[in-house]
Amino acid sequence: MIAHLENEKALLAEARAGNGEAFATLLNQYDRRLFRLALNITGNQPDAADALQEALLKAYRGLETFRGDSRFYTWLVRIVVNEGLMNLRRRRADSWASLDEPTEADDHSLMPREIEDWGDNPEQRYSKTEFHAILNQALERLEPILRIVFLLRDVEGLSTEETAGTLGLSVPAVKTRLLRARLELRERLTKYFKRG
Amino acid sequence: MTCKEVIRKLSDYLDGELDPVLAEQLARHLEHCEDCGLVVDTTQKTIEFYCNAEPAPLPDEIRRQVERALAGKRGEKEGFVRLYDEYAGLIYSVALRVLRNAAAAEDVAQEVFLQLWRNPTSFDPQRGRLAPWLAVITRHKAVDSLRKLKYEAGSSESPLADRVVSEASVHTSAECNRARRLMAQLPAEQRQVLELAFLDGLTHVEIAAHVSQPLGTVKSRIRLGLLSLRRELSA
Amino acid sequence: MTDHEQYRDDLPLYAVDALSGEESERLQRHLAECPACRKELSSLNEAASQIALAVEPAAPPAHFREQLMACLDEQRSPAVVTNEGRRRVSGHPRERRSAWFWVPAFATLVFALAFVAVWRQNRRLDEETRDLSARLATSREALDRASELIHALTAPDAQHVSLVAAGAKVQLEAKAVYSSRQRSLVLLADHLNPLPAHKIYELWLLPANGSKPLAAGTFRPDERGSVALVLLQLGDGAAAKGFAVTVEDEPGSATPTMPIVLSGTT
Repeated sequence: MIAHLENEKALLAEARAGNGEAFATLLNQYDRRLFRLALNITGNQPDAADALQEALLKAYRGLETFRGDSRFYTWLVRIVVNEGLMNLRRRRADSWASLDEPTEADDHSLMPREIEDWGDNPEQRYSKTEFHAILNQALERLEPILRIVFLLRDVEGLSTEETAGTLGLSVPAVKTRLLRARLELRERLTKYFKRG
Repeated sequence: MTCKEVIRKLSDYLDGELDPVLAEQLARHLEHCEDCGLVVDTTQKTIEFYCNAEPAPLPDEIRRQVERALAGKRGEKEGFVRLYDEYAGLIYSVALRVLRNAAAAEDVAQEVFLQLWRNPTSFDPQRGRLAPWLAVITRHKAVDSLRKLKYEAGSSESPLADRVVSEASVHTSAECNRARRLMAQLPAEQRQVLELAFLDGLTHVEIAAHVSQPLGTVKSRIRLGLLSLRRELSA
Repeated sequence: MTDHEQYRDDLPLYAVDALSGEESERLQRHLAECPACRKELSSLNEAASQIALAVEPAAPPAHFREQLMACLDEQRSPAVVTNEGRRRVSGHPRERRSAWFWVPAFATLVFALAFVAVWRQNRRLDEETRDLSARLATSREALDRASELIHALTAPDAQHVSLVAAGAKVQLEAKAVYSSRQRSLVLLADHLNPLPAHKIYELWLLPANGSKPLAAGTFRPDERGSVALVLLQLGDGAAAKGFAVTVEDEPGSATPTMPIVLSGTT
């Protein structure tokens, strides 16, 4: 993701002064990624659209509170994650707990079971659509908290500290969940990408 | 380093966050452990696949929905700011005239604006123009506030203090100018009772006491005054 | 002098708020039943507004604007889609078929337009909004909103709540349809009392968890006393134990003012 930082600073200043156009331009660079994030959290388009909309409205309203002590994008991600989680919680009132506490895992269950060589470019065996579908399906099957940590760290590129801050987790907690997420994804993908 | 330990440290290793000593141990383990080598490699690829995946374009429908909401919100805020700039003077003036106290007037004016912000659709353009509506809802809130203050202060005397001094360069609209002209055209005694009723919150009985006139006279002045205003308005 | 003449003579006094509380209430009751007096009052109100418009101009203190802007609530009212009054299919007064052609964007556009219109001295405000309403009535957005309404009414978790008036005005029919999952609320009512000057009805959601009533929007009935109100994105989807309607001073209130004129529990 290319960040035109100087340009962004100027746009941000404009947006805070009340220039709605500037805000819209700022969002243009990011709205796809934010939507994808919302989609991956909520699991379906209509909820993702709602969450995104609420998040952007909140961002617009709360522009004065953005102090520039993080990247603007990170700030937006935070708001989208919160809206996405609220949306998810509303719909799954029964599983409030499961969003925050992954089931306990011991080291043993971390150990990979499928160990295969994937060759150099396993993705080329599939069409683009199929490839994305495979990735999405594996992601969807992760437990929500693992999925969200992975999304923030590996997809959105937030640092461990930023991720911890956004989700209210400790840094070690983020690291363990990230490890589990990566290993589980690897495990699920292996059957599609293994050679032969 | 055992395979189990390698797996535990895998994430940090891939992120380059592993302690250099441990990292070296891990690297050496990989040299002779094919399985772990494959796990590291495939996990790395996994991360890369997701990291590099370009997000799909926003579906049109959703883009429209979001843009509409944002435009609405911007429109609201911009509309509200314009509303403020145009009418803050009027709203504050009315509150100040009724309450004759700057702090109390500020409170009422703020309350009016906050309610407008919360309920922007309550103004129905079919019912007339905006300025009179704003003036009247402000008056209403201000008189309510006045009555509460009087009640709390325990005094039944209306604090009809001296007229408040206004700032010289306050912008005033054509509508307000016309209203002032119309009021000025009224006979003084009619103007007086209309203001006592509408702006000072007195009932006709209280007004009669205040101006030391019979009730019938007071009522008559109110009627004549208001009817004149109405006539002049439609002229 | 007949009763009615007496009432009519008092209208100017009522318009400038010179009647006592009791006299006022009596006149209000009369107004509820007398369209002629309501009409007369309306023009008198217009005249009365001149008194307020004529006050000596004063500017608010320097800090006022900033303070206000900083205060603008996070708690925004829900997106209101409302069609005030419903079109009935002729000959079937019981049938609830409606053409929904307001959109949230329209409501905010009216808001914004109202103030843009101030700058354009040539055009009158009502022309603007009539034009716009005609254009939007056929727009695609209007159809989108219609489908949202249907969605709100047919939500799987929709709760249908009948609202009754405190004073047992038997004719009054009111119903709320609420979905906490969708955060949507539809209010349908007929035979509502017309409102005294500068009052407005306000709808409240009473949360099941006992927290304070949530302001859910303001409305006025049409000439026939009907209203149809659709609210989306209402609150945070809290479970509701009931709904209530009160009469507030325009443009609305943050807390309900007694008495409650309509209420119902889920």
